[in-house]
Amino acid sequence: MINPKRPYFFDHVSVVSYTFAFIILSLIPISVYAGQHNADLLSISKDAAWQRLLYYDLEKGRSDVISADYFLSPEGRSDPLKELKATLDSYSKPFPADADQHARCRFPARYLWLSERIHLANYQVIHPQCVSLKKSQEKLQLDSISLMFVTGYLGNPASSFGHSFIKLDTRNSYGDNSLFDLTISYGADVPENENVFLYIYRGLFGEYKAKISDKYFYSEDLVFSSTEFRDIWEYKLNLKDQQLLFFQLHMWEILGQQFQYYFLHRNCGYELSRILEVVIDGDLVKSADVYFLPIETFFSLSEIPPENTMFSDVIYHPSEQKVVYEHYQRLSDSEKQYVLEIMEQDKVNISILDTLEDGEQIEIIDFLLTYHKYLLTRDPDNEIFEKSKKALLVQRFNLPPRAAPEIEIEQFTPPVDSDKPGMFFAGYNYLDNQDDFFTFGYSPYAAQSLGRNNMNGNELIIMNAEIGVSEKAIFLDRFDLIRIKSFDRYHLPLENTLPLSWQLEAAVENINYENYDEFLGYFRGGIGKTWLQNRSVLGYVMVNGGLYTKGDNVLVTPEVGIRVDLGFARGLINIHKAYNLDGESDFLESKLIALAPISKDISFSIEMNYRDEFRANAGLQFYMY
Amino acid sequence: MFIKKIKPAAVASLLGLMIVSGNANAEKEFDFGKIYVGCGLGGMIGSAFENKTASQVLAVSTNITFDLGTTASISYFSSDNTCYNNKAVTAAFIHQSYETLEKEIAMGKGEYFDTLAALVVGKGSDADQYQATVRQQFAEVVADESYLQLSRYEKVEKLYYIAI
Repeated sequence: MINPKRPYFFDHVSVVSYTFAFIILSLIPISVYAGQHNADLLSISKDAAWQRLLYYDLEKGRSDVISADYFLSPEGRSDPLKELKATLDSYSKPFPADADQHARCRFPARYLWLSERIHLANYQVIHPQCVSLKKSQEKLQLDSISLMFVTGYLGNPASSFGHSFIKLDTRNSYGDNSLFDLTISYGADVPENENVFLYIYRGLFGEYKAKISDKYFYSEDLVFSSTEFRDIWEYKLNLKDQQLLFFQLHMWEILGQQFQYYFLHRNCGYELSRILEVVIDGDLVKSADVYFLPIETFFSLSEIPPENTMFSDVIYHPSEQKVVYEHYQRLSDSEKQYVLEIMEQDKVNISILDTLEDGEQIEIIDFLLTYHKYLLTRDPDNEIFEKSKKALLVQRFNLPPRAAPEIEIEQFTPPVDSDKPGMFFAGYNYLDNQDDFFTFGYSPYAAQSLGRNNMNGNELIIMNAEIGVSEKAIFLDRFDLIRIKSFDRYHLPLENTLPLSWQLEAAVENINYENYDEFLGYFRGGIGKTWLQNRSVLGYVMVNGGLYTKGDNVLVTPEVGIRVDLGFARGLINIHKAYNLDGESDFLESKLIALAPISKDISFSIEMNYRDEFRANAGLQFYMY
Repeated sequence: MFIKKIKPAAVASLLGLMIVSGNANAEKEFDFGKIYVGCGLGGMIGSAFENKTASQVLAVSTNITFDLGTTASISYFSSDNTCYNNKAVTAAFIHQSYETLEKEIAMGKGEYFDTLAALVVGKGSDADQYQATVRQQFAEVVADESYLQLSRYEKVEKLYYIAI
């Protein structure tokens, strides 16, 4: 009897023949995507998520990954469709002797993503034969992911714009802290003892290879907080379990793969953004043609709708320098006196503490031990510090154990709540005896001393251009190539060095407001001393030396200034007087600048300046990235 | 998968370490010198590097390149990596954070010292006893007249053997 539901052919084939045919067919490799229309594959290969998994750069037409073994097709780096087909072909290939080398073990995130779009026979997120992958995933019990921002510092030009890395918050950390959490970093492979000029050249022009690598958080903590004295801001990301799994699998794929490093636009911030784009399935890079700042990733994440929901927590890790400073402030006046007396001697005499109670001795010695660690980081070969540290250690071992006190650290505005780094300015200028005019300015990076994104009161402004618009003309009013101010805010009275302040400036400014055709170019730098009156008031005195393109070509300008932070607004007053090399007075200039935020991305600014004549400027600053 | 990315010299040394460990008694596996060389804790192999200061050690072992980023030579994600066994992890931890541990052991408490205890004896009540013992033994090392003459490598090695 013919079964109407089956093809006639099958009714005439014996069960044995059918089984035999099945076995034969099973041995013939069939693409997993057989039956999948090419149009579907083309569409999938053009999917932004697939291209993100490949780190494909649409403009360049190739992946940013340069390691050949990241691609299963020989042309996979430049052809997402061929890589898709090769990935699907590899899925059903038999496992080799070293099963970990099978594509299903090497690219688990790709297959997880594909499994949601294409039927993959017998798909499992982690195939049982992928032993290493399985072990790794079992070991790494991931709770959440944090994106870490290391604040910029002016000690090294390359570090001025900050740094970012990812921290994996795991359950199997040792202890109750995060020291053994894993971190994911993107960094260039720079040879040891690289010449500084080669370092700059190669960093700028893509001559270093870079890779994504993992290490324990304590390594980062020791480098950034304890050695370079930089704060770390931890932004915990609000991710779903499925996103965490996808991230974990993708890390397995991408760790160790090589990229080409460019300091300005293919740096840690950019590549970490690309990693997070894979996980959140959205864009975090607005533009990176010329440069990309690490902080941009944080702003992009905060703007994902609904706004400010990507971060579940923000944790501040202060630098060791700040901890030492605040620890000293915490001491009583008499304890400070003992500390000063001990540090004033060439050879530490701990015996002056003998009359004190254990608790007081511990308070003083624990501070001094922390302080010595800080001193020896700055001056590692100092034998006097080594000897005094040993004396302190020996004395401390004789006292009962006690945990270091909780140090209350001055609260700073988290980076995402601060001003964005790019600044557009629109203002109105008044000049004595000259026509008024409007000014429009832009700087791609402006961490102003008076802005919310100031670097502990320091300033770094790059490429600031200001265009004047009067009834008569449109003209260049000012161009700052670079402007840096640095104040040693965390200097302790017991240090045997001066609390330095220094600045550097290279600029061109218009000096003719009748014809707008005369410019003064200058390059000047200064050094001096900082006074921190309290947390709100900082004073400084500096002696500047500069080269000028007009008038006296070399000028020496002593300068005195006060910076005041009122919380709702910040202001700076400074006066400097110029002398030429013959000691003759050249000019006297006084300036008052104030900046007050009026909304998240807008501040009101006012500047009054007197040099031969009075000039005032008021306007709005708009922050962007 | 990632074992192939370890520096060839480190792999060769690591293999040497594994062979020696297999043939000798179990204590050899914990030999600081072999972990130091095999897992590249010093960054480069050779006694010339034994006197590095803490910042140099950090620079070498993490390949600090300022904000060109940092790279690591070994990966946790390689589950077969011998340099991620408990003793090697402890050695690396002490090696990198010696100056912090030195201070916190003298104080008797601290984030790094607590972590060291958790690494060696876990998070339970044994940790207090462990910390007391380490503190007592390390106090003798520091009090010794020769302490200032010890190289950083030697100091780390002494603490490592007390700690494990």
